[in-house]
Amino acid sequence: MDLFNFSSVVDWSRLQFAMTAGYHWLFVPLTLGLAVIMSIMETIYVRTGNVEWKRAAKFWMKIFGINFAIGVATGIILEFQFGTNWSNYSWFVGDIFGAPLAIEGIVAFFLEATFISIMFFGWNKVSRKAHLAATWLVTLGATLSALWILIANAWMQYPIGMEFNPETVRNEMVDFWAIALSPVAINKFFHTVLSGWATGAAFVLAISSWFLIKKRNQDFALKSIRIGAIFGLISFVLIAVTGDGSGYEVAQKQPMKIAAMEGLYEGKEGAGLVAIGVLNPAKADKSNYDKGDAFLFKIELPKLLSIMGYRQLNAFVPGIRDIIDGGYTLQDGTIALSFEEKKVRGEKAIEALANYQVAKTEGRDDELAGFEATLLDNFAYFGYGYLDKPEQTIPNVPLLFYTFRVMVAIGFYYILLFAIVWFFNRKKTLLDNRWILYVSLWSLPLAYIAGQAGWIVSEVGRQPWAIQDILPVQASISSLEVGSVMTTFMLFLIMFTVLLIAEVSIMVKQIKKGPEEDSDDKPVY
Amino acid sequence: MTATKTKFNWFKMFWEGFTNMTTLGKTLWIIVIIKLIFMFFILKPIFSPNYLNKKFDNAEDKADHVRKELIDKP
Repeated sequence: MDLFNFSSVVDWSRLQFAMTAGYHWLFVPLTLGLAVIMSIMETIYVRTGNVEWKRAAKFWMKIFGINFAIGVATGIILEFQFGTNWSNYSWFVGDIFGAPLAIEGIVAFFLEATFISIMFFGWNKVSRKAHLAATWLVTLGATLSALWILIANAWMQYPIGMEFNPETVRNEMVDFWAIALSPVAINKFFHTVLSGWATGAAFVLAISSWFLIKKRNQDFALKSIRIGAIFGLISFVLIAVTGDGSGYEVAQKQPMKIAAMEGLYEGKEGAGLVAIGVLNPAKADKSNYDKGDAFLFKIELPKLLSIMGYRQLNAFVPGIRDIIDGGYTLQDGTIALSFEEKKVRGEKAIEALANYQVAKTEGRDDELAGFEATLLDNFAYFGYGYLDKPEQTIPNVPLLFYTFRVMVAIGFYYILLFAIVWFFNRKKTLLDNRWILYVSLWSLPLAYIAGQAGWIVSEVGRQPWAIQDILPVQASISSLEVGSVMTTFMLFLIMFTVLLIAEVSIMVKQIKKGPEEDSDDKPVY
Repeated sequence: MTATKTKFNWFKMFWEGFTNMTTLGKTLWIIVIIKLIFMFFILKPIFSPNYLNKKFDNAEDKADHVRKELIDKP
Protein backbone atom coordinates (compact mmCIF):
# COMPACT_ATOMS: atom_id res chain seq x y z
CA MET A 1 0.00 0.00 0.00
CA ASP A 2 1.46 3.34 -1.07
CA LEU A 3 -0.06 5.93 1.26
CA PHE A 4 2.25 8.84 0.57
CA ASN A 5 5.07 9.33 -1.91
CA PHE A 6 7.50 11.90 -0.52
CA SER A 7 8.90 12.68 -3.97
CA SER A 8 5.49 13.29 -5.53
CA VAL A 9 4.34 16.85 -6.22
CA VAL A 10 0.78 15.53 -6.42
CA ASP A 11 0.93 13.97 -2.95
CA TRP A 12 2.55 17.04 -1.38
CA SER A 13 0.05 19.34 -3.07
CA ARG A 14 -2.83 17.18 -1.86
CA LEU A 15 -1.43 17.02 1.67
CA GLN A 16 -0.93 20.77 1.68
CA PHE A 17 -4.50 21.38 0.57
CA ALA A 18 -5.86 18.88 3.08
CA MET A 19 -3.85 20.43 5.91
CA THR A 20 -4.92 24.00 5.14
CA ALA A 21 -8.54 23.03 4.51
CA GLY A 22 -8.55 21.07 7.78
CA TYR A 23 -7.19 24.04 9.74
CA HIS A 24 -9.61 26.41 7.98
CA TRP A 25 -12.47 24.13 8.98
CA LEU A 26 -11.52 24.54 12.65
CA PHE A 27 -12.51 28.21 12.42
CA VAL A 28 -15.48 28.14 10.03
CA PRO A 29 -17.94 25.85 11.85
CA LEU A 30 -17.66 27.83 15.07
CA THR A 31 -18.33 31.04 13.14
CA LEU A 32 -21.42 29.51 11.53
CA GLY A 33 -22.78 28.01 14.74
CA LEU A 34 -22.03 30.81 17.20
CA ALA A 35 -23.48 33.35 14.76
CA VAL A 36 -26.91 31.73 14.96
CA ILE A 37 -26.75 31.18 18.71
CA MET A 38 -25.82 34.79 19.54
CA SER A 39 -28.50 35.98 17.08
CA ILE A 40 -31.14 33.87 18.84
CA MET A 41 -30.04 35.19 22.23
CA GLU A 42 -30.18 38.78 21.05
CA THR A 43 -33.61 38.13 19.55
CA ILE A 44 -34.83 36.91 22.94
CA TYR A 45 -33.34 40.01 24.54
CA VAL A 46 -35.12 42.31 22.07
CA ARG A 47 -38.41 40.47 22.55
CA THR A 48 -38.28 40.19 26.35
CA GLY A 49 -36.12 43.14 27.34
CA ASN A 50 -34.31 40.83 29.79
CA VAL A 51 -30.74 42.17 29.97
CA GLU A 52 -29.40 38.78 31.05
CA TRP A 53 -30.01 37.64 27.49
CA LYS A 54 -28.16 40.68 26.20
CA ARG A 55 -25.28 39.79 28.50
CA ALA A 56 -25.25 36.24 27.20
CA ALA A 57 -25.46 37.40 23.57
CA LYS A 58 -22.57 39.82 24.14
CA PHE A 59 -20.39 37.12 25.68
CA TRP A 60 -20.88 34.71 22.78
CA MET A 61 -20.46 37.62 20.39
CA LYS A 62 -17.07 38.25 21.93
CA ILE A 63 -16.06 34.61 21.41
CA PHE A 64 -17.46 34.79 17.87
CA GLY A 65 -15.37 37.91 17.26
CA ILE A 66 -12.14 36.21 18.42
CA ASN A 67 -12.82 33.24 16.16
CA PHE A 68 -13.84 35.48 13.26
CA ALA A 69 -10.81 37.78 13.54
CA ILE A 70 -8.33 34.93 13.70
CA GLY A 71 -10.05 32.74 11.12
CA VAL A 72 -10.95 35.46 8.63
CA ALA A 73 -9.13 35.22 5.30
CA THR A 74 -7.55 31.85 6.15
CA GLY A 75 -9.63 30.41 3.28
CA ILE A 76 -7.67 32.65 0.90
CA ILE A 77 -4.67 30.37 1.50
CA LEU A 78 -6.67 27.68 -0.29
CA GLU A 79 -7.20 30.04 -3.22
CA PHE A 80 -3.45 30.77 -3.32
CA GLN A 81 -2.92 27.06 -3.79
CA PHE A 82 -5.30 26.88 -6.74
CA GLY A 83 -3.13 29.41 -8.56
CA THR A 84 0.22 27.98 -7.49
CA ASN A 85 -0.09 24.22 -7.18
CA TRP A 86 -3.24 23.52 -9.19
CA SER A 87 -2.81 25.83 -12.19
CA ASN A 88 -3.99 23.30 -14.81
CA TYR A 89 -7.12 22.71 -12.77
CA SER A 90 -7.68 26.44 -12.19
CA TRP A 91 -7.42 27.20 -15.88
CA PHE A 92 -9.49 24.19 -16.92
CA VAL A 93 -12.43 25.02 -14.62
CA GLY A 94 -12.52 28.59 -15.88
CA ASP A 95 -15.26 30.84 -14.58
CA ILE A 96 -17.26 27.98 -13.08
CA PHE A 97 -15.07 27.92 -10.02
CA GLY A 98 -14.15 31.59 -10.22
CA ALA A 99 -17.71 32.93 -10.30
CA PRO A 100 -18.96 31.40 -7.03
CA LEU A 101 -15.69 32.31 -5.30
CA ALA A 102 -15.99 35.90 -6.56
CA ILE A 103 -19.60 36.11 -5.38
CA GLU A 104 -18.49 34.68 -2.04
CA GLY A 105 -15.80 37.37 -1.74
CA ILE A 106 -18.26 40.15 -2.52
CA VAL A 107 -20.97 38.78 -0.23
CA ALA A 108 -18.52 38.11 2.57
CA PHE A 109 -16.97 41.53 2.28
CA PHE A 110 -20.09 43.64 1.97
CA LEU A 111 -22.47 41.79 4.23
CA GLU A 112 -20.14 40.62 6.96
CA ALA A 113 -17.74 43.56 7.00
CA THR A 114 -20.55 46.13 6.92
CA PHE A 115 -22.82 44.63 9.52
CA ILE A 116 -20.15 43.20 11.79
CA SER A 117 -19.07 46.77 12.54
CA ILE A 118 -22.62 47.69 13.56
CA MET A 119 -22.82 44.48 15.59
CA PHE A 120 -19.70 45.30 17.59
CA PHE A 121 -19.69 49.10 17.63
CA GLY A 122 -23.41 49.82 17.31
CA TRP A 123 -24.75 48.90 20.78
CA ASN A 124 -26.82 51.88 21.91
CA LYS A 125 -25.90 53.80 18.76
CA VAL A 126 -28.57 52.19 16.65
CA SER A 127 -31.98 51.01 17.81
CA ARG A 128 -32.33 47.56 19.38
CA LYS A 129 -34.09 46.25 16.31
CA ALA A 130 -31.52 47.72 13.93
CA HIS A 131 -28.76 46.12 15.98
CA LEU A 132 -30.58 42.81 15.94
CA ALA A 133 -30.98 43.08 12.17
CA ALA A 134 -27.22 43.71 11.86
CA THR A 135 -26.47 40.63 13.95
CA TRP A 136 -28.74 38.44 11.85
CA LEU A 137 -27.23 39.90 8.66
CA VAL A 138 -23.76 38.95 9.88
CA THR A 139 -25.11 35.43 10.36
CA LEU A 140 -26.66 35.50 6.90
CA GLY A 141 -23.41 36.78 5.38
CA ALA A 142 -21.36 34.00 6.98
CA THR A 143 -23.87 31.41 5.80
CA LEU A 144 -24.01 32.77 2.25
CA SER A 145 -20.21 32.72 2.11
CA ALA A 146 -20.35 29.04 2.88
CA LEU A 147 -23.05 28.56 0.22
CA TRP A 148 -20.86 29.77 -2.66
CA ILE A 149 -17.82 27.83 -1.54
CA LEU A 150 -19.92 24.69 -1.27
CA ILE A 151 -21.48 25.26 -4.70
CA ALA A 152 -17.95 25.38 -6.14
CA ASN A 153 -17.01 22.23 -4.25
CA ALA A 154 -20.20 20.44 -5.29
CA TRP A 155 -19.39 21.13 -8.94
CA MET A 156 -16.12 19.23 -8.50
CA GLN A 157 -18.16 16.26 -7.23
CA TYR A 158 -20.86 16.58 -9.88
CA PRO A 159 -19.77 18.73 -12.83
CA ILE A 160 -22.79 20.12 -14.71
CA GLY A 161 -23.97 23.31 -16.39
CA MET A 162 -20.79 23.77 -18.42
CA GLU A 163 -19.41 23.19 -21.90
CA PHE A 164 -15.76 22.60 -22.70
CA ASN A 165 -14.21 25.04 -25.16
CA PRO A 166 -11.25 23.43 -26.96
CA GLU A 167 -10.12 26.83 -28.18
CA THR A 168 -9.57 28.26 -24.69
CA VAL A 169 -9.11 24.87 -22.97
CA ARG A 170 -11.64 26.00 -20.38
CA ASN A 171 -15.00 24.85 -19.19
CA GLU A 172 -17.49 27.63 -19.76
CA MET A 173 -20.60 28.11 -17.70
CA VAL A 174 -23.73 27.62 -19.79
CA ASP A 175 -26.27 27.20 -17.00
CA PHE A 176 -25.57 29.09 -13.79
CA TRP A 177 -28.69 27.80 -12.06
CA ALA A 178 -27.89 24.18 -12.86
CA ILE A 179 -24.60 24.68 -11.02
CA ALA A 180 -26.02 26.75 -8.16
CA LEU A 181 -29.06 24.53 -7.61
CA SER A 182 -27.49 21.16 -8.31
CA PRO A 183 -28.87 18.59 -5.86
CA VAL A 184 -25.34 17.83 -4.71
CA ALA A 185 -24.75 21.52 -3.93
CA ILE A 186 -28.03 21.93 -2.07
CA ASN A 187 -27.45 18.85 0.05
CA LYS A 188 -23.83 19.71 0.68
CA PHE A 189 -24.79 23.24 1.75
CA PHE A 190 -27.37 22.13 4.30
CA HIS A 191 -25.31 19.22 5.59
CA THR A 192 -22.17 21.34 6.00
CA VAL A 193 -23.81 24.43 7.47
CA LEU A 194 -25.75 22.25 9.89
CA SER A 195 -22.51 20.64 10.97
CA GLY A 196 -21.24 24.16 11.72
CA TRP A 197 -24.37 24.86 13.76
CA ALA A 198 -23.85 21.60 15.62
CA THR A 199 -20.24 22.50 16.38
CA GLY A 200 -21.33 25.90 17.66
CA ALA A 201 -23.94 24.25 19.90
CA ALA A 202 -21.40 21.70 21.18
CA PHE A 203 -19.02 24.57 21.93
CA VAL A 204 -21.67 26.55 23.84
CA LEU A 205 -22.66 23.41 25.74
CA ALA A 206 -19.06 22.63 26.67
CA ILE A 207 -18.13 26.14 27.82
CA SER A 208 -21.41 26.60 29.69
CA SER A 209 -20.84 23.26 31.40
CA TRP A 210 -17.41 24.51 32.47
CA PHE A 211 -19.04 27.52 34.14
CA LEU A 212 -21.47 25.23 35.94
CA ILE A 213 -18.70 22.87 37.03
CA LYS A 214 -16.84 25.89 38.41
CA LYS A 215 -20.10 27.11 39.98
CA ARG A 216 -19.75 30.46 38.23
CA ASN A 217 -22.24 32.58 36.27
CA GLN A 218 -24.89 29.90 36.67
CA ASP A 219 -27.82 31.88 35.31
CA PHE A 220 -25.84 32.78 32.19
CA ALA A 221 -24.63 29.20 31.73
CA LEU A 222 -28.10 27.70 32.15
CA LYS A 223 -29.55 30.20 29.68
CA SER A 224 -26.80 29.33 27.21
CA ILE A 225 -27.38 25.62 27.66
CA ARG A 226 -31.12 26.13 27.16
CA ILE A 227 -30.43 27.57 23.70
CA GLY A 228 -27.41 25.38 22.94
CA ALA A 229 -29.09 22.08 23.81
CA ILE A 230 -32.21 22.56 21.72
CA PHE A 231 -30.25 24.15 18.87
CA GLY A 232 -27.71 21.34 18.97
CA LEU A 233 -30.35 18.64 19.13
CA ILE A 234 -32.24 20.07 16.14
CA SER A 235 -28.97 20.55 14.21
CA PHE A 236 -27.76 17.00 14.76
CA VAL A 237 -31.13 15.49 13.84
CA LEU A 238 -31.17 17.58 10.65
CA ILE A 239 -27.58 16.52 9.94
CA ALA A 240 -28.78 12.91 9.99
CA VAL A 241 -31.60 13.80 7.58
CA THR A 242 -29.32 15.70 5.18
CA GLY A 243 -26.70 12.99 5.61
CA ASP A 244 -29.22 10.55 4.22
CA GLY A 245 -29.78 12.97 1.32
CA SER A 246 -26.03 13.20 0.78
CA GLY A 247 -25.81 9.40 0.77
CA TYR A 248 -28.47 9.28 -1.93
CA GLU A 249 -26.70 11.87 -4.08
CA VAL A 250 -23.32 10.15 -3.68
CA ALA A 251 -24.82 6.80 -4.68
CA GLN A 252 -26.35 8.39 -7.78
CA LYS A 253 -23.43 10.56 -8.86
CA GLN A 254 -20.31 9.01 -7.33
CA PRO A 255 -20.97 5.27 -6.97
CA MET A 256 -17.29 4.50 -6.41
CA LYS A 257 -17.25 6.81 -3.39
CA ILE A 258 -20.16 5.12 -1.68
CA ALA A 259 -18.82 1.65 -2.53
CA ALA A 260 -15.51 2.63 -0.90
CA MET A 261 -17.29 4.15 2.13
CA GLU A 262 -19.05 0.81 2.61
CA GLY A 263 -16.13 -1.46 1.72
CA LEU A 264 -18.49 -2.91 -0.89
CA TYR A 265 -16.41 -4.75 -3.48
CA GLU A 266 -19.10 -7.05 -4.87
CA GLY A 267 -22.40 -5.35 -5.63
CA LYS A 268 -25.72 -6.84 -4.61
CA GLU A 269 -29.44 -6.31 -4.53
CA GLY A 270 -30.91 -5.30 -1.19
CA ALA A 271 -27.48 -4.28 0.08
CA GLY A 272 -27.08 -3.66 3.80
CA LEU A 273 -25.29 -0.80 5.50
CA VAL A 274 -22.33 -1.92 7.59
CA ALA A 275 -22.88 -0.68 11.15
CA ILE A 276 -19.63 -2.08 12.56
CA GLY A 277 -16.92 -3.89 10.69
CA VAL A 278 -13.24 -4.69 10.38
CA LEU A 279 -11.88 -4.56 6.85
CA ASN A 280 -9.58 -7.23 5.53
CA PRO A 281 -6.13 -5.52 5.60
CA ALA A 282 -5.10 -7.43 2.45
CA LYS A 283 -7.61 -5.41 0.47
CA ALA A 284 -5.87 -2.17 1.39
CA ASP A 285 -3.59 -3.00 -1.56
CA LYS A 286 -5.86 -1.70 -4.30
CA SER A 287 -4.67 -4.24 -6.84
CA ASN A 288 -6.40 -6.86 -4.68
CA TYR A 289 -9.79 -5.31 -5.36
CA ASP A 290 -10.97 -8.48 -7.09
CA LYS A 291 -9.43 -10.99 -4.64
CA GLY A 292 -10.37 -12.17 -1.17
CA ASP A 293 -13.01 -11.20 1.37
CA ALA A 294 -13.64 -7.53 2.06
CA PHE A 295 -14.22 -7.96 5.81
CA LEU A 296 -12.76 -9.90 8.70
CA PHE A 297 -15.94 -9.14 10.60
CA LYS A 298 -19.06 -7.03 10.10
CA ILE A 299 -22.56 -6.35 11.40
CA GLU A 300 -24.94 -5.08 8.72
CA LEU A 301 -28.23 -3.24 8.87
CA PRO A 302 -30.14 -5.17 6.19
CA LYS A 303 -31.28 -3.39 3.01
CA LEU A 304 -30.34 0.03 4.34
CA LEU A 305 -27.70 0.82 1.69
CA SER A 306 -30.18 0.06 -1.11
CA ILE A 307 -32.79 2.24 0.56
CA MET A 308 -30.35 5.10 1.18
CA GLY A 309 -28.72 4.98 -2.24
CA TYR A 310 -31.68 4.19 -4.46
CA ARG A 311 -34.82 4.52 -2.28
CA GLN A 312 -35.71 0.91 -3.04
CA LEU A 313 -35.60 -2.07 -0.73
CA ASN A 314 -33.94 -4.39 -3.23
CA ALA A 315 -32.10 -1.99 -5.52
CA PHE A 316 -28.79 -3.20 -6.88
CA VAL A 317 -25.86 -1.32 -5.37
CA PRO A 318 -22.73 -1.74 -7.50
CA GLY A 319 -19.54 -2.65 -5.70
CA ILE A 320 -16.02 -1.53 -6.58
CA ARG A 321 -15.52 -4.54 -8.85
CA ASP A 322 -18.84 -3.94 -10.66
CA ILE A 323 -17.98 -0.29 -11.27
CA ILE A 324 -14.63 -1.30 -12.75
CA ASP A 325 -16.04 -4.17 -14.83
CA GLY A 326 -19.23 -2.33 -15.89
CA GLY A 327 -22.07 -4.26 -17.52
CA TYR A 328 -24.74 -3.69 -14.88
CA THR A 329 -27.93 -1.74 -15.54
CA LEU A 330 -27.91 1.87 -14.40
CA GLN A 331 -30.95 3.70 -13.00
CA ASP A 332 -31.70 5.26 -16.39
CA GLY A 333 -31.80 1.82 -18.03
CA THR A 334 -28.45 2.12 -19.81
CA ILE A 335 -25.60 -0.30 -19.25
CA ALA A 336 -22.65 0.87 -17.16
CA LEU A 337 -19.38 1.19 -19.04
CA SER A 338 -16.33 -0.67 -17.81
CA PHE A 339 -13.11 1.09 -16.81
CA GLU A 340 -11.53 -0.03 -20.08
CA GLU A 341 -14.40 1.43 -22.12
CA LYS A 342 -14.23 4.71 -20.23
CA LYS A 343 -10.47 4.79 -20.68
CA VAL A 344 -10.84 4.37 -24.46
CA ARG A 345 -13.34 7.22 -24.55
CA GLY A 346 -11.10 9.41 -22.40
CA GLU A 347 -8.15 8.79 -24.67
CA LYS A 348 -10.33 9.64 -27.68
CA ALA A 349 -11.26 12.96 -26.06
CA ILE A 350 -7.63 13.84 -25.31
CA GLU A 351 -6.60 12.84 -28.84
CA ALA A 352 -9.40 14.99 -30.29
CA LEU A 353 -8.15 17.95 -28.22
CA ALA A 354 -4.67 17.43 -29.68
CA ASN A 355 -5.98 17.02 -33.22
CA TYR A 356 -8.14 20.10 -32.87
CA GLN A 357 -5.09 22.20 -32.04
CA VAL A 358 -2.99 20.72 -34.88
CA ALA A 359 -5.82 21.33 -37.38
CA LYS A 360 -6.19 24.88 -36.14
CA THR A 361 -2.46 25.58 -36.37
CA GLU A 362 -2.33 24.14 -39.91
CA GLY A 363 -5.39 26.08 -41.00
CA ARG A 364 -7.57 23.01 -41.62
CA ASP A 365 -10.64 24.79 -40.30
CA ASP A 366 -13.08 22.42 -42.00
CA GLU A 367 -11.88 19.62 -39.68
CA LEU A 368 -12.31 21.56 -36.43
CA ALA A 369 -16.01 20.81 -36.02
CA GLY A 370 -15.38 17.07 -36.31
CA PHE A 371 -12.64 17.05 -33.69
CA GLU A 372 -14.72 19.24 -31.39
CA ALA A 373 -17.70 16.87 -31.75
CA THR A 374 -15.50 13.86 -30.91
CA LEU A 375 -14.06 15.71 -27.92
CA LEU A 376 -17.44 16.75 -26.55
CA ASP A 377 -19.00 13.32 -27.19
CA ASN A 378 -16.35 11.72 -25.01
CA PHE A 379 -15.73 14.59 -22.62
CA ALA A 380 -17.66 12.99 -19.75
CA TYR A 381 -14.81 10.44 -19.54
CA PHE A 382 -11.93 12.84 -20.35
CA GLY A 383 -10.14 12.06 -17.09
CA TYR A 384 -10.01 8.31 -17.68
CA GLY A 385 -7.52 8.96 -20.47
CA TYR A 386 -4.90 9.73 -17.82
CA LEU A 387 -5.33 6.48 -15.90
CA ASP A 388 -3.55 3.22 -16.64
CA LYS A 389 -4.98 0.69 -14.24
CA PRO A 390 -8.52 0.20 -12.97
CA GLU A 391 -7.40 0.27 -9.34
CA GLN A 392 -6.37 3.91 -9.84
CA THR A 393 -10.08 4.77 -9.74
CA ILE A 394 -10.45 3.39 -6.20
CA PRO A 395 -10.13 5.88 -3.34
CA ASN A 396 -8.57 4.92 -0.01
CA VAL A 397 -11.14 2.38 1.22
CA PRO A 398 -9.95 1.90 4.84
CA LEU A 399 -9.68 5.64 5.43
CA LEU A 400 -13.17 6.25 4.03
CA PHE A 401 -14.79 3.27 5.72
CA TYR A 402 -13.54 4.05 9.22
CA THR A 403 -13.78 7.85 8.95
CA PHE A 404 -17.39 7.64 7.80
CA ARG A 405 -18.26 5.50 10.80
CA VAL A 406 -16.46 7.82 13.20
CA MET A 407 -18.48 10.75 11.81
CA VAL A 408 -21.81 8.95 12.04
CA ALA A 409 -21.09 7.54 15.51
CA ILE A 410 -20.21 10.99 16.86
CA GLY A 411 -23.38 12.39 15.28
CA PHE A 412 -25.60 9.88 17.06
CA TYR A 413 -23.60 10.28 20.28
CA TYR A 414 -24.30 14.00 20.24
CA ILE A 415 -28.01 13.50 19.55
CA LEU A 416 -28.13 11.43 22.72
CA LEU A 417 -25.99 13.89 24.69
CA PHE A 418 -28.04 16.94 23.69
CA ALA A 419 -31.28 15.07 24.41
CA ILE A 420 -30.08 14.16 27.92
CA VAL A 421 -28.85 17.70 28.61
CA TRP A 422 -32.10 19.17 27.30
CA PHE A 423 -34.09 16.77 29.53
CA PHE A 424 -32.10 17.58 32.69
CA ASN A 425 -32.25 21.28 31.95
CA ARG A 426 -36.01 21.13 31.43
CA LYS A 427 -36.43 19.24 34.71
CA LYS A 428 -34.06 21.75 36.35
CA THR A 429 -31.81 18.91 37.54
CA LEU A 430 -28.76 19.70 35.46
CA LEU A 431 -26.81 20.99 38.46
CA ASP A 432 -27.61 17.78 40.35
CA ASN A 433 -26.13 15.66 37.57
CA ARG A 434 -22.62 16.96 37.40
CA TRP A 435 -21.43 13.95 35.43
CA ILE A 436 -23.29 15.20 32.35
CA LEU A 437 -21.51 18.55 32.67
CA TYR A 438 -18.14 16.81 32.62
CA VAL A 439 -19.24 14.66 29.67
CA SER A 440 -20.45 17.78 27.81
CA LEU A 441 -17.18 19.59 28.44
CA TRP A 442 -14.85 16.77 27.45
CA SER A 443 -16.91 15.77 24.42
CA LEU A 444 -16.14 19.02 22.59
CA PRO A 445 -13.18 17.63 20.57
CA LEU A 446 -15.56 15.00 19.18
CA ALA A 447 -17.62 17.70 17.44
CA TYR A 448 -14.49 18.94 15.67
CA ILE A 449 -13.38 15.40 14.83
CA ALA A 450 -16.80 14.75 13.24
CA GLY A 451 -16.49 17.89 11.11
CA GLN A 452 -13.01 16.94 9.92
CA ALA A 453 -14.17 13.39 9.27
CA GLY A 454 -16.97 14.71 7.08
CA TRP A 455 -14.53 16.56 4.86
CA ILE A 456 -12.24 13.53 4.66
CA VAL A 457 -15.17 11.38 3.50
CA SER A 458 -16.20 13.99 0.95
CA GLU A 459 -12.78 14.80 -0.48
CA VAL A 460 -10.80 11.58 -0.11
CA GLY A 461 -13.86 9.82 -1.53
CA ARG A 462 -13.61 11.96 -4.68
CA GLN A 463 -10.09 10.69 -5.42
CA PRO A 464 -8.46 10.22 -7.87
CA TRP A 465 -10.51 13.03 -9.33
CA ALA A 466 -10.08 16.77 -8.95
CA ILE A 467 -13.23 17.00 -11.08
CA GLN A 468 -15.27 13.82 -11.01
CA ASP A 469 -14.48 11.66 -14.09
CA ILE A 470 -13.15 14.67 -16.01
CA LEU A 471 -9.81 15.58 -14.48
CA PRO A 472 -7.67 13.46 -12.15
CA VAL A 473 -5.38 15.15 -9.63
CA GLN A 474 -2.21 14.22 -11.48
CA ALA A 475 -3.36 16.16 -14.56
CA SER A 476 -4.47 19.12 -12.44
CA ILE A 477 -1.20 20.20 -10.91
CA SER A 478 1.44 22.71 -11.96
CA SER A 479 4.90 21.63 -13.03
CA LEU A 480 6.52 22.52 -9.72
CA GLU A 481 9.50 21.20 -7.81
CA VAL A 482 8.64 19.07 -4.78
CA GLY A 483 10.87 21.30 -2.66
CA SER A 484 8.82 24.40 -3.36
CA VAL A 485 5.57 22.67 -2.38
CA MET A 486 7.24 21.35 0.79
CA THR A 487 8.40 24.88 1.65
CA THR A 488 4.93 26.38 1.30
CA PHE A 489 3.51 23.40 3.20
CA MET A 490 5.76 24.21 6.15
CA LEU A 491 4.99 27.94 5.96
CA PHE A 492 1.24 27.35 5.89
CA LEU A 493 1.54 24.83 8.70
CA ILE A 494 3.44 27.30 10.87
CA MET A 495 1.03 30.13 10.08
CA PHE A 496 -2.07 28.11 10.86
CA THR A 497 -0.56 26.63 14.01
CA VAL A 498 0.40 30.09 15.31
CA LEU A 499 -3.12 31.34 14.56
CA LEU A 500 -4.69 28.37 16.31
CA ILE A 501 -2.50 28.83 19.39
CA ALA A 502 -3.43 32.54 19.42
CA GLU A 503 -7.11 31.69 19.08
CA VAL A 504 -7.14 29.14 21.88
CA SER A 505 -5.10 31.25 24.28
CA ILE A 506 -7.16 34.43 23.72
CA MET A 507 -10.40 32.48 23.95
CA VAL A 508 -9.41 30.69 27.15
CA LYS A 509 -8.50 34.04 28.73
CA GLN A 510 -11.83 35.59 27.76
CA ILE A 511 -13.84 32.55 28.81
CA LYS A 512 -12.15 32.61 32.22
CA LYS A 513 -13.13 36.28 32.55
CA GLY A 514 -16.70 35.25 31.85
CA PRO A 515 -19.61 37.44 30.82
CA GLU A 516 -19.31 40.98 32.07
CA GLU A 517 -21.93 42.94 33.95
CA ASP A 518 -23.84 44.77 31.30
CA SER A 519 -23.08 48.40 30.88
CA ASP A 520 -24.74 50.22 28.05
CA ASP A 521 -21.57 52.08 27.24
CA LYS A 522 -19.23 49.12 27.49
CA PRO A 523 -18.03 48.00 24.06
CA VAL A 524 -17.81 44.31 23.20
CA TYR A 525 -14.45 45.18 21.57
CA MET B 1 -31.99 51.97 30.10
CA THR B 2 -31.70 55.12 28.07
CA ALA B 3 -32.35 54.94 24.38
CA THR B 4 -30.27 57.17 22.18
CA LYS B 5 -32.48 59.56 20.30
CA THR B 6 -29.78 61.31 18.29
CA LYS B 7 -29.55 60.63 14.57
CA PHE B 8 -27.33 57.71 13.63
CA ASN B 9 -23.93 58.84 12.43
CA TRP B 10 -21.96 56.15 10.64
CA PHE B 11 -18.62 57.91 10.92
CA LYS B 12 -19.15 58.64 14.62
CA MET B 13 -19.92 54.98 15.27
CA PHE B 14 -16.64 53.89 13.72
CA TRP B 15 -14.69 56.69 15.37
CA GLU B 16 -16.02 55.92 18.83
CA GLY B 17 -15.74 52.19 18.19
CA PHE B 18 -12.06 52.43 17.37
CA THR B 19 -11.12 55.06 19.94
CA ASN B 20 -12.90 53.24 22.79
CA MET B 21 -11.64 49.83 21.75
CA THR B 22 -10.71 47.38 24.48
CA THR B 23 -7.33 45.68 24.75
CA LEU B 24 -8.91 42.55 23.30
CA GLY B 25 -10.17 44.46 20.27
CA LYS B 26 -6.76 46.04 19.70
CA THR B 27 -5.03 42.67 20.03
CA LEU B 28 -7.36 41.11 17.46
CA TRP B 29 -6.87 43.98 15.02
CA ILE B 30 -3.09 43.62 15.35
CA ILE B 31 -3.38 39.88 14.65
CA VAL B 32 -5.62 40.51 11.62
CA ILE B 33 -3.26 43.15 10.18
CA ILE B 34 -0.10 41.07 10.73
CA LYS B 35 -1.83 38.04 9.22
CA LEU B 36 -2.97 39.93 6.13
CA ILE B 37 0.45 41.55 5.63
CA PHE B 38 2.13 38.16 5.93
CA MET B 39 -0.36 36.55 3.54
CA PHE B 40 -0.51 39.20 0.85
CA PHE B 41 2.96 40.74 0.99
CA ILE B 42 5.13 37.71 1.80
CA LEU B 43 3.33 34.42 1.19
CA LYS B 44 1.49 35.32 -1.99
CA PRO B 45 4.18 37.15 -3.99
CA ILE B 46 7.25 35.25 -2.80
CA PHE B 47 6.13 31.73 -2.01
CA SER B 48 2.78 31.27 -3.64
CA PRO B 49 2.58 33.23 -6.89
CA ASN B 50 0.03 32.35 -9.55
CA TYR B 51 1.90 29.84 -11.70
CA LEU B 52 0.35 30.79 -15.04
CA ASN B 53 0.42 34.54 -14.43
CA LYS B 54 4.08 34.33 -13.52
CA LYS B 55 5.06 32.38 -16.63
CA PHE B 56 2.75 33.80 -19.28
CA ASP B 57 1.51 37.24 -20.23
CA ASN B 58 -1.69 36.53 -22.07
CA ALA B 59 -4.62 34.14 -22.08
CA GLU B 60 -3.60 32.52 -25.35
CA ASP B 61 -0.19 31.48 -24.02
CA LYS B 62 -1.77 30.19 -20.82
CA ALA B 63 -4.27 28.16 -22.83
CA ASP B 64 -1.46 26.75 -25.01
CA HIS B 65 0.50 25.73 -21.94
CA VAL B 66 -2.45 24.01 -20.25
CA ARG B 67 -3.41 22.30 -23.53
CA LYS B 68 0.13 20.96 -23.88
CA GLU B 69 0.09 19.80 -20.26
CA LEU B 70 -3.25 18.04 -20.72
CA ILE B 71 -2.18 16.36 -23.94
CA ASP B 72 1.29 15.35 -22.74
CA LYS B 73 0.58 14.46 -19.10
CA PRO B 74 1.34 10.80 -18.44
